[in-house]
Amino acid sequence: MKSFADAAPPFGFFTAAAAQRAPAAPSAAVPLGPAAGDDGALCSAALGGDAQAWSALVDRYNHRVVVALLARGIRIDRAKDIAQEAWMRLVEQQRLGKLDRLQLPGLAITQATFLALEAQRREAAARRHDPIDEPKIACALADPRGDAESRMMTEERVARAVEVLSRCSPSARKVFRLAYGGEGLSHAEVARRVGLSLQRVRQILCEVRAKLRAELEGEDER
Amino acid sequence: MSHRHATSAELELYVLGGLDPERAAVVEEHCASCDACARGLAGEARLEVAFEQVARHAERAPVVARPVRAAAYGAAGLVAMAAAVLLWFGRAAATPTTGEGTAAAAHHTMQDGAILDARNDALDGG
Repeated sequence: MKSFADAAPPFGFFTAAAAQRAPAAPSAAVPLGPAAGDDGALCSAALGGDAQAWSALVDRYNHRVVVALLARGIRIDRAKDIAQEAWMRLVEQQRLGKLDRLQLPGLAITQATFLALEAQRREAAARRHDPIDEPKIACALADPRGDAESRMMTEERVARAVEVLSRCSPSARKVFRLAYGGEGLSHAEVARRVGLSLQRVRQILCEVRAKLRAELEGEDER
Repeated sequence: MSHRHATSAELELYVLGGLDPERAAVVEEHCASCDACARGLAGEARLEVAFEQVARHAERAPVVARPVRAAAYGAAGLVAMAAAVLLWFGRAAATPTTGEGTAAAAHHTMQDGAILDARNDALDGG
């Protein structure tokens, strides 16, 4: 598959370094300048065709896209390829004037999920012997994230996890809400908001994960 | 390929984006060809997605009185009840049934006595 760096003129802003760095989720390398948290401005610039803004958004959100694909059981190498292609499709849509809103990482995850299901459909068709599970694919396309979540979680388990979360310290709850809530901030941005180091934020998240793990994994424990 | 299996901590840190790029590359390379570690990585990724669901749920969940707060409210209720009982007894003690009442009765008795004495004196012609 074509990499960001190979896709020269239209995707010239994807440097080889960015392509290599993005899937591995840069940690300390994430810039924490004043513009780092300004998602709206970056998205506006990207919608205007600013290559650097696209590059910054890829750096910021590509790892989330890869993780969403991993959660669907897609292998890491494949997930990274699909994520790359999803970004390139988004840029292409923007260049063609077909993108009027840019809500990230949701849009990139949806695009990547669509590509993954499309690939699954093609592979099934190529094998010929394997029947294509049309209803399943149609259902997943209708709600790309719902399928995985419904497999993982029941309302009861979510409620128990929320209760466990409510027993965590207020600062831990705040870090968790910023990282996983509606804003979906990057860990670097969470660190900037709460005035902690990136390492401390990840440490807090690991602690909360340990507490929630038992509730969420339930009978699926490894 | 790296033959050492990834540890749970490494898989978790990878998903959180906390591994240094070199170690992340090793984990990726290993997970691309190791079924067990790939399953572990998928599990960590599913947890990550599940946390988003928990966060959304927590954001719209009603505020629940926590045990400590419930105990505090209970204690405050007991104190209020005790205060009410004390106040009631205090007011009961202040009603004119004992001290003031007796004095008034004694006062009336003395007045009645004086009236009787005056009437007797008048009858006696004094």
